[in-house]
Amino acid sequence: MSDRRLKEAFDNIHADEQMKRHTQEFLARKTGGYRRGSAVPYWRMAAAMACLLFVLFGSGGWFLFFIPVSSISVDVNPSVELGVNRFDRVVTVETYNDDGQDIMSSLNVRFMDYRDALDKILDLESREAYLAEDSCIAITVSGAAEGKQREMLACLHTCASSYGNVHCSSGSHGEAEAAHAAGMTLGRYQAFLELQALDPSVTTEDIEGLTMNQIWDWIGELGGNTDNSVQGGNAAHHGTGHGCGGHHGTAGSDSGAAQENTGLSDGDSVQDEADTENGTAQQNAADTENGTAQQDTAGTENGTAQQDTAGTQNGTAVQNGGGCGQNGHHGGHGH
Amino acid sequence: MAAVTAVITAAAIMAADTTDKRRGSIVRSEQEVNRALEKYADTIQRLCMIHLKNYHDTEDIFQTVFLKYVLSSVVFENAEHEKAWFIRVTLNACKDLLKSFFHSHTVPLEEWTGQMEDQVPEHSEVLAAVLSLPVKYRNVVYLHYYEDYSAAEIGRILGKNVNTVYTLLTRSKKLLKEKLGGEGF
Repeated sequence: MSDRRLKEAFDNIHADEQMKRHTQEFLARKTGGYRRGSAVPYWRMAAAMACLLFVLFGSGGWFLFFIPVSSISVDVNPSVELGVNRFDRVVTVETYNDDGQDIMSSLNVRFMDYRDALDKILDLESREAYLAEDSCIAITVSGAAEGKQREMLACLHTCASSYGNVHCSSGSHGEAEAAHAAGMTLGRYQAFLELQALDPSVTTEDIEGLTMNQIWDWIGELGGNTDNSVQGGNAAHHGTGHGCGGHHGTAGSDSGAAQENTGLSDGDSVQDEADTENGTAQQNAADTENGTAQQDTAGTENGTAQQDTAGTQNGTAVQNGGGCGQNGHHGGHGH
Repeated sequence: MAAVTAVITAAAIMAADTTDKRRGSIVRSEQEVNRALEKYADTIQRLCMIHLKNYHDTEDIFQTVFLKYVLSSVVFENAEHEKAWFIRVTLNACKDLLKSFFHSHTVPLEEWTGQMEDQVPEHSEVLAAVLSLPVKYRNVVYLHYYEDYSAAEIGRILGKNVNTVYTLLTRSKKLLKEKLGGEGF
């Protein structure tokens, strides 16, 4: 049978010993001597781990570095907001008006220390004439922890004070969000809120084109005309920032004096004292005469009397008023 | 802090993962492998002979096949199953080798005629006749005439229709008859 022939022929084919030995050696090498170990070599595992660590640390580092934890808004007229990461580096820059856009287009402050960034911005702003010697700079910090916020404010104040009157304040994250929703920086927004508290008819559109100077002037005006105590209240409220402590102090005392005056002139019974204080003895007599003569006209008489005293007072009253206006204005800046 | 925790967690997961793989990776012991090597080396050698032309390719096939065996978690139901598995894996390995880029773009230094020189002339004549067949006939000839597989079994091993196997067998029989002028095919 050729069937048999073929079988015999194939039967004589054998795998030689060398082939078997090579295979055994190969397998022993590949399996690490049949250790129940991984077929994946150790170094490869290590490399995989290293890659994993790299990716994790990389993304963690990215997160740490590129996510801003606090923001600093700088308003003169250009409104700029800097996002600062936890290493005090500026990582985001946002502008809220055209002037801000102009400033930031020629300035790259990304990855700078926030103090240097502020310095650069203010330097450029003063060269571009946005910033005059006496104009005010509103610097507002939000988002950071309290201690950090205070530290940042102190730093910012010292580094900005050479450029003008600095108004520093801080705000919460929620306030910052509300400000952004309104399309403003936090500093501007706080000023706007203050203005709105004085005059509820004020809207965001009204202050759109105004510089911080003008806004504070406006607040000063409103505060001076309507009720000084509000101004005082504001001053106290803003006392947290304390840009220009000295100015603020005088503003407070002046408005206090003004308040005293007006307050006293409102009350009939104490008017005497007020008048004596002002040193108008004759008027006093007139007043009391009027007072005893006719109760009805007493009010109007009082009014005239007061006007009179104002007239005679001139020296003190006008000074007071003037001082109030002036200092109030400063107070507005200073805060 | 969160990142560090994540790293540790990931490392722990990975470590657990590798131990699991480790347990599953090397399935056969050295004894098992040596037994299989003794038992199937000749079969693999013969299959390689009818497909490949040199010693080193054959060695490659041996290594590939037995590495697969070591790492495979296939449970063999019986010796037949195991043998069929080896045949199938060997043929696949041969196919892979032959169609690999390196192989199809290089020419070996020496053509290996296997152990045909050592054979008695009658045997080498038969082997030469088998090798002269077109590739598609060689497997069926070997499996049918040498390993005594039925057409149905060959069909299963090669993944071919039974009737196809019959056709291949008939044709190869005819060709062998022509070449060997032989009786009985």
